Amino acid sequence: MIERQAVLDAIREFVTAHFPAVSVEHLETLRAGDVIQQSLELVELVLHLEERLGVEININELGENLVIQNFGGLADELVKSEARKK
Amino acid sequence: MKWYIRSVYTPTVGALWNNREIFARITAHLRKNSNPPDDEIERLLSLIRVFLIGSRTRYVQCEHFLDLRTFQEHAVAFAEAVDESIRSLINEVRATDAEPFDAVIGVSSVGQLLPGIADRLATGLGQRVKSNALLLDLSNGGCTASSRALQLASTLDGQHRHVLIAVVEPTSTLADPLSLDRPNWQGVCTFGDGTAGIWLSTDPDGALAELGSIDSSHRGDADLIRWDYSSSYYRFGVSDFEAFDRKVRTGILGALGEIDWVDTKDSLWAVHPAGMMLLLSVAKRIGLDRSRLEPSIRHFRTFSNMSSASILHILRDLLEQAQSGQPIRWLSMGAGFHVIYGHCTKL
Repeated sequence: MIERQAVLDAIREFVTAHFPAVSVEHLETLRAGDVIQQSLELVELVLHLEERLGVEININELGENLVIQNFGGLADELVKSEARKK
Repeated sequence: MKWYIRSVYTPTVGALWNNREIFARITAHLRKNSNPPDDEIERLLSLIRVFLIGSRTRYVQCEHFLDLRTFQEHAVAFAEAVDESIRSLINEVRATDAEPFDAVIGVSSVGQLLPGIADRLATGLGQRVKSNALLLDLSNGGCTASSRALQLASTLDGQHRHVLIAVVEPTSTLADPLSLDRPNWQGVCTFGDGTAGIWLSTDPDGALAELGSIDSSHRGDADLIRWDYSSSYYRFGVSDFEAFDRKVRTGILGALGEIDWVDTKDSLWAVHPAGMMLLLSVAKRIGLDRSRLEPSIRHFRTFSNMSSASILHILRDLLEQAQSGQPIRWLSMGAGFHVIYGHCTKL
């Protein structure tokens, strides 16, 4: 199991490091597709989450959520995805 | 017997399309030609946006691939693209001082045609292919097909001193434009069209590199990457779309546990660009830092995944930048599930 807050903390860490101009004050409401513009950035975010959370993430499973959800919704999807694996 | 790489041929074929252009065309096509509820189409388009995020490009030989409807249209598009690739390879081979070839191996992951790739190429090259040359096509090899051909060629006996491997991968002809199947669109968005050739010889004079051993491992998950079928043609498919990344990564790492591969600090690396996620995650786990992966990333950004042609394009780039004595290693992976590791040393 992973905690939603742990996912959000890891996302916040990534966004702060890679997109310093983006305010993370309301991280949960930011749309992932608005922040991430390149495939390399998307992959780096996923690899960062894998490392920080100790899980393996299937990009295809998250699918379109990676661009249409905000980070709060993406965190929910990840928590649900990990729960399904148990 | 030692084998040497005498030349690598990497002509570009087709028209250059960027992600923005292909997304615009797919969006207009799906909104016009599909019947399911709008929200289903829009979700599929959002997934396609994920596959096409960023500034990647690819070459497209069949620019009307979204209009292909019948078996005949797909097969004709494939044959025309193969002929375009063969013409471009012939031009490159003729520009070098290639000896008459004793064997020609044609490679394609995509389709079938008669006469085959090797026969067409031999006809086009005329006197540059011996009349008694071994001519054969190697098909159904997926993204490791060119490495399988190298593996095969390196086992030939001394009667075959000059071997030409010709790879044609017109992946756009495989698209199923009316399908809403997610793996189909993953394939459309990930692949680019490409061609490549490599001249292997037992003669070291003028060689670029000495070929080392080539090792492979098949993982017993034959359905992981496969063709699916529509009423008119076959298309890219996978057995478990949602777990695809994990299974491929597990397959590669399992294979590397069996294959006798090594790395040295001075080695240059070519890794088959199956996708950005696979490139980076596999490299990370085998200890390749970003700078050593850069030639493969650069190739993917320009050409996308040209199936088994990609590894030869990256290999040619590395042969141009390598110093004498420097090892070049490559790793390809694809349907089977099959992984091949090879290496050569720049002369």
